[in-house]
Amino acid sequence: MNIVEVIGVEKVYRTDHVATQALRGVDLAIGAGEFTAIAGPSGSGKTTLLNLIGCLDLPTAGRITVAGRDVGQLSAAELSDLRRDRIGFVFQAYNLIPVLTARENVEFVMLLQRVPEKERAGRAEAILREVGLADYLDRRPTEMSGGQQQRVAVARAIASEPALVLADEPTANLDSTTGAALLDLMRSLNEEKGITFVFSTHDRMVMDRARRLVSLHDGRVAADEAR
Amino acid sequence: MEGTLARIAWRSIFRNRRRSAVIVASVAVGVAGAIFMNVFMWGMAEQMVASTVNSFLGEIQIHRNGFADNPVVGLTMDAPRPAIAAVERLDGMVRGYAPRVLTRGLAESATNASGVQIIGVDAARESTLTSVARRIVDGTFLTGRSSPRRKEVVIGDALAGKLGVGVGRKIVLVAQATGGEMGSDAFRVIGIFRMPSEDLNRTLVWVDLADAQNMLGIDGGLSEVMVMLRHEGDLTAAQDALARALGPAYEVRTWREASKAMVVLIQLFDVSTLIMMAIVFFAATFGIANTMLMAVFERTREFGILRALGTRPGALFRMVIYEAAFIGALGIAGGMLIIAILYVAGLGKGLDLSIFAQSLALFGTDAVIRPRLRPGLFAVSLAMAEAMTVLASMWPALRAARLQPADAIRRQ
Repeated sequence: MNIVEVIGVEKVYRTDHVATQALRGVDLAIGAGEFTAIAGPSGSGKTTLLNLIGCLDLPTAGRITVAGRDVGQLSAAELSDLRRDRIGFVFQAYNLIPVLTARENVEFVMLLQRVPEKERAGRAEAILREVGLADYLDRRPTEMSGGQQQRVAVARAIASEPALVLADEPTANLDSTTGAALLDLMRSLNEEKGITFVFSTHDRMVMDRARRLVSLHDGRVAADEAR
Repeated sequence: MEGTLARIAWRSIFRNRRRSAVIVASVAVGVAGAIFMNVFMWGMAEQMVASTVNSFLGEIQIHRNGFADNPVVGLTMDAPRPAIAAVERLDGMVRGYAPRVLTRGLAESATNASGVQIIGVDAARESTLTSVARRIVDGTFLTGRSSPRRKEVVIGDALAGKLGVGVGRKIVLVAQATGGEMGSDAFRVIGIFRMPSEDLNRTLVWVDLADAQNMLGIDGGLSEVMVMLRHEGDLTAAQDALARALGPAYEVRTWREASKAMVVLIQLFDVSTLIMMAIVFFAATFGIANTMLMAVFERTREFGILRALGTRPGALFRMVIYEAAFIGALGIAGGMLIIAILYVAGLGKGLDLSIFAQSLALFGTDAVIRPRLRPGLFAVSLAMAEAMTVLASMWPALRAARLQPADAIRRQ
């Protein structure tokens, strides 16, 4: 079953004077349990595609379904709820809430989902242990390294039990060792729990670990290979 | 959810301590200024009322119906016993009462003359209920031993100056008596008073009750029974009780009805205090709005992430408002602390405005204004401060709520 279906999607960014076509008719399907990298040079449209799949933006043309729902038919509130319930995000710059602790950051999405407090606290602690941060539960992001912050971000992304996790250049701000460890963590979550991961990347390390590699060039799918 | 939003909001205040300190300080100074205005304006108003009520007017006045608008000798209470009895029946509420004869007349000396308000009083009762006996600056108040050969009068220093008389000198008082006759008598000045109000110093003359009754030919009659209460809060209840007991033949007025100008002046004080507070806070809101806008701008990416995670725009709006509300609360606490420190440092003893003593005398207040807190207006000040802080943050909060996630996340 496909978690994501992208059909003939185009995306044009317009300013007052300039129209930039970021995607030019992309067709793509992501199945449950995939560990897929969308790769390409800067300006190829990979972040745009990830944003559209993540319901952070809407396509100019074409259709996208996520977890069976056509995102073009949803209101802003419904898109917000879809992101909350079905999609996890891992960003390049970690993007944790700086005034919340690791535990509170992981609990945040569950709070939005109205998960009861005890269950929320238990799941947050379990997930943080799983990603190797048992001793960092009550630390704030400023008290953690980049790699630790990114692990918290991964924990936050999976805590809400999403249909898929979108990771936009997750290793870009990490050294190779830390980046490799993070990727191995995400791979093991994918294999053990069946969580679907879709990466946007130009990092060789990510591409090598992906079981499917979709190459974008100038807003089009140039190649789509299983590994 | 709200708890977490509030937690983020509270902790966010401390992200940029310097900036938060500036906003909190601006609210604190505004609050301190508002409280200062409140307590001293009300202190001044209270002194004005006290000066008016305690010096002459009293808290409740009982007359024969129509006397207040037409204070003629023809509207004397010829048999004042029922009025006095009604007052005595209110024993629990009443601190004391004083029988009076009131008439407008003329005071003449060898060199000058002046229109006056003649008040005939029971010296012993009057001196315990009004402040005139304590305001004597030369001589004494009425002794109660006035005799046909030595009729006593106490006048204000302004009148004494105008008539060119002092203690021991004689003046003649002239007024309309019964039967269309003019009553007059010579009185010896035994005391000179000075009250905060120049107007009272110029117009009031105090004589013995019996002397006034004789001069006007109203044997035993009274113009007024003046009443002072134990508690200011009993004013309306006492007025109602007396009016019911005495019926339509009498009029029972409080000081508010007797001195409408004073009431209007106090209302003007209230309104002007509120307006000044509003201006102070309104001016502060621009600074607060600008600073909150900067804080939201700096956190655009963070708000984008929150939206990406599924936070609804309304929740982001509330989070910014909570932050503003906390800042307002801290500012209010700071303002109250400033006032508390100033109070202990000496402001509690009063504000010495001696350099404006002459102007203050026109309002009937002393040169030292003592602070008085009015809980209602105090609460309004604090509510205004909080409301203005929250209002100043509405636009930044709206901006945060309207952010598009993809655009916001792209910002560095």
